[in-house]
Amino acid sequence: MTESTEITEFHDFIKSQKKANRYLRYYLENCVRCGSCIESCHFYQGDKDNPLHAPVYKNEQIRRLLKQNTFLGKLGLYGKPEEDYFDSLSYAVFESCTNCRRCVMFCPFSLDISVINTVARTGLIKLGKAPEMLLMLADMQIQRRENIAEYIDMFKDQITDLENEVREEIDDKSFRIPVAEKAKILYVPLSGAITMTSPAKIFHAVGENWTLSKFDVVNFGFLAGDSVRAKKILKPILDEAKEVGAEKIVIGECGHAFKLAQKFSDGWFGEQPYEIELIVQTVAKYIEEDKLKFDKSKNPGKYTHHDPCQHARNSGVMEESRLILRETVNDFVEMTPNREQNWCCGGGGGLIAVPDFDDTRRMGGQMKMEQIKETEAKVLTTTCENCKSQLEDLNDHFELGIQIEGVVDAAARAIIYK
Amino acid sequence: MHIALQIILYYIFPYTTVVVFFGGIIYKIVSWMRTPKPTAALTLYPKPDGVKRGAAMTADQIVFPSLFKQKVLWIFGVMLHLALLGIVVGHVRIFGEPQFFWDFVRLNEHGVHLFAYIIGGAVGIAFLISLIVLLVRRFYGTMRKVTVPIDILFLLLLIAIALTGDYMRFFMDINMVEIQTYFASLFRFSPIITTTIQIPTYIIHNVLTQLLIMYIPFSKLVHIIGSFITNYIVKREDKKAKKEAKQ
Repeated sequence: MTESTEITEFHDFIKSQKKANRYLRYYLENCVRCGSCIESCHFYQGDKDNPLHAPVYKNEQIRRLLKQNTFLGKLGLYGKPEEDYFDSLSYAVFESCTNCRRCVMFCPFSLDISVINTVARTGLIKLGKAPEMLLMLADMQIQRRENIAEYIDMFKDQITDLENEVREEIDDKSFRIPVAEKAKILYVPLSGAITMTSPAKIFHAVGENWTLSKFDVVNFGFLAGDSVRAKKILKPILDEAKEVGAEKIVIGECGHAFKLAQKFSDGWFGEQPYEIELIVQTVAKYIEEDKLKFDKSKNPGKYTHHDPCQHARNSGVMEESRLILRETVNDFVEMTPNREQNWCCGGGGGLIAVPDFDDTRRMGGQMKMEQIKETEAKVLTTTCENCKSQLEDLNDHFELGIQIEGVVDAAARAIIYK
Repeated sequence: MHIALQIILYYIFPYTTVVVFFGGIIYKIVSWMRTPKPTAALTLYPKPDGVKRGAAMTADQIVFPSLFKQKVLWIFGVMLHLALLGIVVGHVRIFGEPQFFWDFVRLNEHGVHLFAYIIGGAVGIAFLISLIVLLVRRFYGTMRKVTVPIDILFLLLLIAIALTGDYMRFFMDINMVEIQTYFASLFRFSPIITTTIQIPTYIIHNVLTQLLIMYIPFSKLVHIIGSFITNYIVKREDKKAKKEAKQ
């Protein structure tokens, strides 16, 4: 296929999407290019010389392409897209955008720039121009989900090992990590062991009727912007909740997975009977109900908290983390700006999973690093695995000398067992 | 003036503008509403509720809090839109003298003239200044890359309208009664061509404004109605959260 036929194909795809998505139309047709979003982007703050870092210019690539065939577009009144179109677009929407939606807050019309970016991502995937890494990871996840019977024994063995470790650590033989048993709460972890043990300790201390999911909650399909793969990865979790008779699905400390499960499940698979909660919300409820006691001295040093974009401004989970930290650590300082205004870590939207994006990703983390340095904190907590990986990478690469952990991990360490 | 030109300018053109503008707005809204909604729509948090949400949504439309960090854009953006509001309100006069208002503020004929001169003049100048600042802003830094020719054209068009309007306000003695006679006759579908509306400056002002009005529904200026919808989308109540709260 030549470049020009590919561009035509891509153009037609975007046009078909525009016909099928009312909000996409709003977002494409209402922008006045005022440029208010430009300074709000952490990639732009990291490198102001590349216009592709400006959210509005990312979207302009799509807008200008659509306008090319109109009468005024042919006169050149709507500008021209970048020369090497697909390279530029791929850089704009895959490599230098985390879909953190910070720019949406700074748009006078609240136009959702991430919606246009996601459509562009989908179009690039269709043409085979997406970073293969993300799709490969997504396919691996789908493969594991489809053949879960082959993996389940190995997984259960690993969990038994973890169980024994924790039993020794907290000196309690009754500690258990049930896997896919009948229970009220289905907890869906990530792949890291600590994302299973920390919540398990808390559930154990509260005496909750819970079970661990066979699956991990991460969704590389969603990160890539591919809804077909994303559905295949999300569906098994909802099915499992039905199998175990759960009333509530609790999502591990993961940014996009929580947003996805909470906002997309109903639309994609019909209305779901389950309450969907982030683990931090669950723990905060236990604290409010006075079910947990903590020893703050287990968490010494100055703490600060990074609000993951997908939890704070995109899902409204902000105060819960602070409630937990107030109960579990002695010395806590806020970063500025914080909560919904917080700077993105720069590693979301799948960036952290693609080694080719390392330089751009670290550049995008500049604002975050400055924020962290200002607090002079020694420990940084957050509630998103993507953020953790990115922050750990920044910590190593730029020698910040801090320690990064999950809010739930800090809580689990400080539990006083009855 | 040639009779054919007169017919086009004073008979056909104004009715076309009205039809294209209102037809365009209706077409736009209907075509938006006919496009299916996406399965999931994301909002922003924290979400104020009740009266606070109403206040936040109103603020979005009037004082543009989202622009606050961009001081130049914010000051002159607000100035532009408030001036525009003043201009639109001020131009209601061409459809007839709001006598009840003049009686209410106790202004006689001379007072009305002075009032229109000072307030109208100030708003006209504010409009022109904000347009020029916003135009200059487009030529620097990243804005230069982001800007497309149509943005400049819109601003130039608005500047031309503002210049001719301000010129008539400050340097010409325009007979308002004659303009009112013409507009009133338009409603009766039998336009009366008076002397004032044949002044070249007035013709330019009039034609450019009508071109602008016609293009509103089909350009980025559709944000006049679109911004209400898009700002509502991110601030609206969460269906799921509402359901959980009820339980």
